[in-house]
Amino acid sequence: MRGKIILSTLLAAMFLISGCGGKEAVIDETAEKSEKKTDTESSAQAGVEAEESSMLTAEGEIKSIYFDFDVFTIRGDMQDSVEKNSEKLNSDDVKGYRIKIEGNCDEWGTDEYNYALGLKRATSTKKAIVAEGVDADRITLISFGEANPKCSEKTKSCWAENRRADFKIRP
Amino acid sequence: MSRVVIWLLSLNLLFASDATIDVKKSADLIPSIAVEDGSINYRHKISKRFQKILTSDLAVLAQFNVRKTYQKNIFSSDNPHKENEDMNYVVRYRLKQSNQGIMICDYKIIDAKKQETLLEDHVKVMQNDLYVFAAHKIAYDLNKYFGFPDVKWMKQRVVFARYISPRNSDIVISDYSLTYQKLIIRGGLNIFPKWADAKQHAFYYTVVGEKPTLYRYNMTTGKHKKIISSSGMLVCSDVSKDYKQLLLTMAPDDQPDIYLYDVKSDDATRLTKYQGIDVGGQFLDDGKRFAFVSERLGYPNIFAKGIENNEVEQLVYYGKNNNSCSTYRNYIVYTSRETNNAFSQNSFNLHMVSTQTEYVRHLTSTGVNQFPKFSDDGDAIIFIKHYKRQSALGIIRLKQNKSYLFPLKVGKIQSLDW
Repeated sequence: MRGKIILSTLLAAMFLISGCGGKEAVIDETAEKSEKKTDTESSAQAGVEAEESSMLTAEGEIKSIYFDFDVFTIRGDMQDSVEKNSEKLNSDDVKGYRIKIEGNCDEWGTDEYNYALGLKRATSTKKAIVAEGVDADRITLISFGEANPKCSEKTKSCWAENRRADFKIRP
Repeated sequence: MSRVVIWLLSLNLLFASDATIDVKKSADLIPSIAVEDGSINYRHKISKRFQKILTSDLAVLAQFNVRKTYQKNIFSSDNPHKENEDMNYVVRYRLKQSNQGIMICDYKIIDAKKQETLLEDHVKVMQNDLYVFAAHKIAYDLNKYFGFPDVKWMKQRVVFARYISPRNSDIVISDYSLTYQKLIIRGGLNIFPKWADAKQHAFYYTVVGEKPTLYRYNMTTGKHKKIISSSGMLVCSDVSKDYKQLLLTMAPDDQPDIYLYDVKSDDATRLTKYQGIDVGGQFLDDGKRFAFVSERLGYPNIFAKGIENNEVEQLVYYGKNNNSCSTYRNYIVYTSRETNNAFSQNSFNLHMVSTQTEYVRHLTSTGVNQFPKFSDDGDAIIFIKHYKRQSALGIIRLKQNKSYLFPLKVGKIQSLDW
């Protein structure tokens, strides 16, 4: 990807340099083409952007569920988040979307066990929101083990932030 | 003298009977050796580095008192350098480049006392950056010449995954000491590589994308072959000795269980059905059973189960939280959480048990030690050590009762295989 970006930049620079020698029309033509979008394309693009924005807004309102060390059962103090998340996921503006639950662990323990532990955290979270009325068929799970830390400090509070299940909203 | 010989023989018998017993070897009983550089007109930086690598290899053999001092000497001579006249043996090498661009390393082993050459040979290296493996090969040959226990693992390659940043890990090929490293796969989350053939031409690895998928990458053809996908998680935990079967942990129904995958037929058979965590299967008893990690007693511990039957046996009775293991014949090495304080600096250590005895041998005592893996011949264990902010590859020589650490400069080791 980085290579492509560099290549594009180089091509653009070449055009600009050529442009000084009398090929300004090429640059103008490219600019014109990019501006000539049909109404259908524009509205479809706007629709996609609106959907993405709606999903991101919903995702921002859903809280992660946190877990104790080496445990995959839902803590009592997380029940409030489970209920509010379920309410949001079943609301009119979100219930048409799919849900991906990502299980995560802190850095302690062997990573293979942590991938299983992360998955069980995602599974517990799924069961908890299904019990609150969210359709199980909308939900997929994935574990990142210790590969997706929110916090990289070597402190207890930081490790606690990494023992969590996150929600992602998908079309 | 005869007493010494008998004592050494009895030690060998002891090793043969039970490797879980600690053995301390007195340093003054082992012969001394030095490494001399006989290269002419070769890049001095490389030839000097070669001496350092070979010296380190000889130390890892744990059969000699190794002198680290760098000395040059004429290759053809049978005399040791005057600084090395008190040594029992000298290894001398000569690096040179052929007209075809191939690096040739001549070497010989000299009896320093008798001033005579015991062994003379050469190693060819097709690419200059692989010279590290030439040093390892010389150490291997020397070890074989003296009839010490086989160290085949020394000349083989290690494949490991390293975390670079969140959701981003590379797969790297290296030698056992991490001196040589070649980045093979980058971009995205690439984890749990496992060698797929005896020649180390191919390896399995998991890509965690939208759906975790196991691939087989052939390094000679450059082809990635998709093997199997699973929702939730997918790990290749072990490959059978004949490379025909895999033990996978996957979760097609969101439930992590162990599966036996047949490479030829592409069939996957579910082997465990516990509703909690079953993970990390390792072939045991010539593939008739497998050891695995399960939290079916309320905490992670090591169990065994037959491939063909449902009997589950608890293998380990020591440790509060035993979350990974490796097997060799009737030996099991496992990681155990050592203290009630989950986050103390010595919280995870390696232990070894035998299915034949109840004795537990403690292999590490500091740092966070994880992901142990026996060498093919059971001579050594490779493992990951995290201590403070350092990630290192560790090697334990079981019979010699010695361990060695090789720090990783970039990233954090996720998993490895050799």
